[in-house]
Amino acid sequence: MSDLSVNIGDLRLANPILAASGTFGYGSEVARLYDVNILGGIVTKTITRAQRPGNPPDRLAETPSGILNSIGLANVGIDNFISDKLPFLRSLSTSVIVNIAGESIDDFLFLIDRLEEHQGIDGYELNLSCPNVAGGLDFGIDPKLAGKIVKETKKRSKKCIIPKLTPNITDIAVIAKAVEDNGADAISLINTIVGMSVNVSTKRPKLGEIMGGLSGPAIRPVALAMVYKARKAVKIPLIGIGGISSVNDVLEFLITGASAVQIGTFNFVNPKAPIEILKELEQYLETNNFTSVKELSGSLITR
Amino acid sequence: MNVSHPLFQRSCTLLKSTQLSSKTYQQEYVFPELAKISKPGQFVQIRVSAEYSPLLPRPFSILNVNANQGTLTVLFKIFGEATEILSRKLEGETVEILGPLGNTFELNRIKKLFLVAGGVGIPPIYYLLQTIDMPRYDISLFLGAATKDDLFLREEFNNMDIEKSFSTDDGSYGTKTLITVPLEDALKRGFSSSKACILSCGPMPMLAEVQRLAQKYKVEAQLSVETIMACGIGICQGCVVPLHGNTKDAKKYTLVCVDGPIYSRDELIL
Ligand SMILES: Cc1cc2nc3c(=O)[nH]c(=O)nc-3n(C[C@H](O)[C@H](O)[C@H](O)COP(=O)(O)OP(=O)(O)OC[C@H]3O[C@@H](n4cnc5c(N)ncnc54)[C@H](O)[C@@H]3O)c2cc1C
Ligand SMILES: Cc1cc2nc3c(=O)[nH]c(=O)nc-3n(C[C@H](O)[C@H](O)[C@H](O)COP(=O)(O)O)c2cc1C
Ligand code: FES
Repeated sequence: MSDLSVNIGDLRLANPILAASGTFGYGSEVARLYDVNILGGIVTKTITRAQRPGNPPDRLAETPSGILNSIGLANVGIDNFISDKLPFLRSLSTSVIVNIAGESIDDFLFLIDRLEEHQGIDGYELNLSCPNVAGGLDFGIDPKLAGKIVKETKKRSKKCIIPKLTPNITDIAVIAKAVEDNGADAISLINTIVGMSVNVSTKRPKLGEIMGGLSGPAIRPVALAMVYKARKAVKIPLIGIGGISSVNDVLEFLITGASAVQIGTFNFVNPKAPIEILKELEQYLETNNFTSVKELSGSLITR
Repeated sequence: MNVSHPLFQRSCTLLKSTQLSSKTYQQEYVFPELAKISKPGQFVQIRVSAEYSPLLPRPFSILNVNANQGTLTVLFKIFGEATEILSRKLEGETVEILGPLGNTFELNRIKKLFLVAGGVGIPPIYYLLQTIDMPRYDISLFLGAATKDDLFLREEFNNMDIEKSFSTDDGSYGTKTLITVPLEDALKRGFSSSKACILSCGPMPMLAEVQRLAQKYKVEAQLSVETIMACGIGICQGCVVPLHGNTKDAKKYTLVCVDGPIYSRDELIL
């Protein structure tokens, strides 16, 4: 048996296949179909200070090899998360990463402080793809702000802090470097890419919010290039996200330099995709005589 | 959400595909686990292609199941790419199906049923009629569609011993009117309100009118809605419809795939 475990900072994941935020609910939904403990980890839907109803419909539109969404971070809020969702997550043996977002650095710290009072959480993913109300810009495109959030959250928790970067930026390497310099344990990338689609017969945008986030296989080459750029810029582990649908896609990200990956949109296409891909990854490692999946990470040959 | 509610996903073989009209197909698939437990009003997600186009599975109401033979039947109209691909599937081919999804009609204490269905909303009503003991109820059926071709299963319904009215937008079958017109006539004639209920599936404008009539004539109603879906199991938050009032828990929207597709009369803003 090849060793599937990977290390993300101090966090040891049983395998490199995780479920991405916003595409796996709070874990219990998919547990109706299979034992989610098989996964390397679960990243929760983004949790905010207050409950968020989300954006008006329509929130989804299919595009070539992808989907656009304008969910609007609909979530139960921190109180309901702790009382209703965390007990199930805590009962799991797989790693649980809670994804959080706020409109200010204070919001992020408030959320970490609340979550630190509870058992069953293995790390935090910081969703930086959201507007900073004070500054107007997304946290994820301002290296100073992104760095500051990481630095402050690191002071509040000993657990793994993983900023999740937005691709809607000129140079991802700058942000990657800023969060590494401020103590990030790892980096997740990428979140969705800004996109839009129009219904020609009604002349209306397909999404209620007009623009939304593109995900799915359509964005995979973009995500891969960003992992490549970030890999060259930083030393901390990278978690690759974007359009993963098969073991081949996972291998692309690992070879390019990711230590682990998250599966997002494909949970909607085939809810069992993560465990099917994990099985194929195991077979691949066996067949190709890898003693550990870690050997693959960053094995890209560029000349 | 009811986590204990069983859910299955499997590759299902197409046993029988029947073209009902130029754009309508009825298909029977092998799915024994689902056939044992599904209920009228529930739906399935069918992934019509292993490729990226179309990427997402599509929701279809369950038309019927055969628990003994372990089969599931759906009826669909060609709208776009997914339904087009599905229509071309050959007997013996397989597709991935996930289900059963969603909730079911609640018939407790009801004696008088007004069944109102339009277009692709007809299948759940057909399924319901297959599962209930019809003589125990006083049933009035109202079926509407754009054209005769879209009045699916009209012969099967015609053979049922219940009161029925058909209508089409173009008058090619039944009366040339909206189905809610004969419904209102029937409601005007009177009924025992404590034991009556309207069950309705169909396009949003039809459901909005059914909701209005049910409120006006003070009769209970259960309305089954359709929205655009991605996952079908509550993990994407995409399939929302706005809820009335209920500001107490700041719940503005409901997830149709897990909390619906069937809602009581006053719950939704249609
Ligand atoms: C709970 C539920 C049960 C359904 N049951 C049936 C059924 O029994 N038989 C049947 O024929 N159809 C049913 N439908 C509708 C069916 O899912 C769509 O016709 C199908 O998704 C169309 O896919 P397509 O790729 O062929 O067309 P697409 O190209 O995806 O769609 C064609 C057009 O319809 C729009 N559209 C797609 N899905 C929906 C939707 N759900 N609501 C409103 N507009 C939509 C698209 O935006 C597009 O403009 C049901 C839908 C739901 C939500
Ligand atoms: C419907 C939907 C909801 C999402 N919600 C969140 C979210 O709440 N927080 C977050 O950090 N990312 C969210 N994402 C982004 C995904 O986690 C992921 O980064 C992105 O979709 C790219 O991966 P994919 O192509 O595999 O889906 C969401 C994506 C989708 C499609
Ligand atoms: S379709 Fe995904 S939550 Fe309903």
